[in-house]
Amino acid sequence: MLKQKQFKLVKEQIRIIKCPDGLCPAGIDTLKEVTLTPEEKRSIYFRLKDQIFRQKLLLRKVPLF
Amino acid sequence: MVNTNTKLSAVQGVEKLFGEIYSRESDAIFRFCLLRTSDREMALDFTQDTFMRFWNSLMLEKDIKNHRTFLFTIARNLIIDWYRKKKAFSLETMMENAAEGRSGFQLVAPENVETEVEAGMLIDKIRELPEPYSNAVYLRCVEELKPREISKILGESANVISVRISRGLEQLRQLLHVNVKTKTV
Repeated sequence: MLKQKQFKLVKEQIRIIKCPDGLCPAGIDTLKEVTLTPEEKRSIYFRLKDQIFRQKLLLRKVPLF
Repeated sequence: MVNTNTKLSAVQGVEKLFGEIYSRESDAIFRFCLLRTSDREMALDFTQDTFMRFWNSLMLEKDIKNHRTFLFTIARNLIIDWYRKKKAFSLETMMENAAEGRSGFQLVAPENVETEVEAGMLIDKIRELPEPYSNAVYLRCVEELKPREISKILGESANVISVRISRGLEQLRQLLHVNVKTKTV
């Protein structure tokens, strides 16, 4: 069984790992900071919005009652 | 008429909730997918698919007790499906990725060579951990999920997850041959 200190050490080591594909923006020091870029975030969100909108259009064609 | 208005306001409520959860959880889901696939484009697709399925579940008014664990479960299942389908993963692609530096972990601070080597090794070792341990260690140490939350994602009991975390970390330490005593002094 790992002691608390040992657990903390492994945890800290995990945190210092950077993005796996090396394509994250510069200045990221920890795995926790590996994030979507603002552009990616927006792009996904708008694509989702688009898909949702299309779903809604399809739903409207189905009579509700 | 009243019925339609109720439905509209319900949809608007779902949209608001969805937007909030997306901005809060999308990074963690993306990070999880990126770690499991080592491919940024794939991870972006998985993140999108995860949230699309999440939206569908919200619209179907499924009983979701914890949105975070629900999202991780969807992402995990999508990745499992992908690995099952991906029978013919070409060696060429792997070699191309390696040549372009798209695989393997890198650190920002090049001056800290010792730390970089350790971190790179560590992530490789996390991947080398047998499947029951790898996910549990990642979700606990990186995403800081509680064993109870991880248990819902992985479909096991909280006790089993706690055991997996401690055994996983123990194995990780053995794999790394880390002399913890000398490091913590």
